[in-house]
Amino acid sequence: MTDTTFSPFAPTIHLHPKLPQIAVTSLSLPILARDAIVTRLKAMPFFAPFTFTTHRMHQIMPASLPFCGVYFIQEIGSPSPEPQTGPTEFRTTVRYGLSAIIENNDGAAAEYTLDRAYQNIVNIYADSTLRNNQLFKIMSFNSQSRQHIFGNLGQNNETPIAELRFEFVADFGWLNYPMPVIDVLETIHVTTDYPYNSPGTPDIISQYDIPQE
Amino acid sequence: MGNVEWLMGMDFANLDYKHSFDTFSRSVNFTPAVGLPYTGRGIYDSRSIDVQTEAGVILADQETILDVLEAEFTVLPVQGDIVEIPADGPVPAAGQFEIIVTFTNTVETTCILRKMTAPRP
Repeated sequence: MTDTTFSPFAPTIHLHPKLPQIAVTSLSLPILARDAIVTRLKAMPFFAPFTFTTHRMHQIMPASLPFCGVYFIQEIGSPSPEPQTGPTEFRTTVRYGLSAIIENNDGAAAEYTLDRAYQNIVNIYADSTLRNNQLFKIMSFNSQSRQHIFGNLGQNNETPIAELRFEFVADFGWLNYPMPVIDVLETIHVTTDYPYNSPGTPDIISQYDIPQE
Repeated sequence: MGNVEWLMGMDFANLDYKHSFDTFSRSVNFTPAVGLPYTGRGIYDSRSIDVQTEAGVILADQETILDVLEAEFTVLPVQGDIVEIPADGPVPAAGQFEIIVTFTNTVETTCILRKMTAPRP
């Protein structure tokens, strides 16, 4: 047997044709949840005048203020207690970042507006449709952080902006990646050489074809 | 005999800055936080500046400044004063600004400006 022929122990990657292709039928759960959160924020009267985005490629222009960005920042899969058994699974938590940018020359009034934005946003914690959703299930919200930022680092930008930076972590529970166990045995080939290496005795060769579904 | 360097003070305000202001300045109305409004002149300039927001997203803004020649003012503009920059011939008005900080080189004061806008939301 050479390296080019199939062997389950050969150091080559082999995907058996019987293994199902990975089917991508939907967006991943964290992205579905992010979009669901955006839908809920858009429905809040406070956010009616806001321009929304969900990706970080967009450069914000002052003309599009007030602005709300809801970003997928990071997904972390914590290890299973028994990673060597069963399908691959991770305790999956996702960190989302939310940026609400408003415009106000009065810094104190701006901060009150950011506070109202925050109090609107945290309504998502009480939204049971994010917990028991047909597409995804958020088990819990594990942590959050909030900051109020006024302009750039030097505060020398022309537009009087104030930003609520709000990050929260959602727990999606154990997400597993099923491992289909496919019977790849199709043929058993048996060669009987008895007596061993006897020149006058032909080998007995049998081939068993395993019925396939 | 080695080179001899003759050092003497230069009147930068009149020899240098005044000519720049004669060429580039425009009329400006100042409304101090305390005191009566007055009119002067200054050089307006603005350039792009990036503001980093949540998750590294950029807000593309501007840094806007107004330079004034200190010799032309009895009381210099200070932080908190309101500056109105009206139209100057064919150049459109720049609008109303608040002076958020100033710095000086003893001849010229630079005012960093923040645009006065209606609150949104």
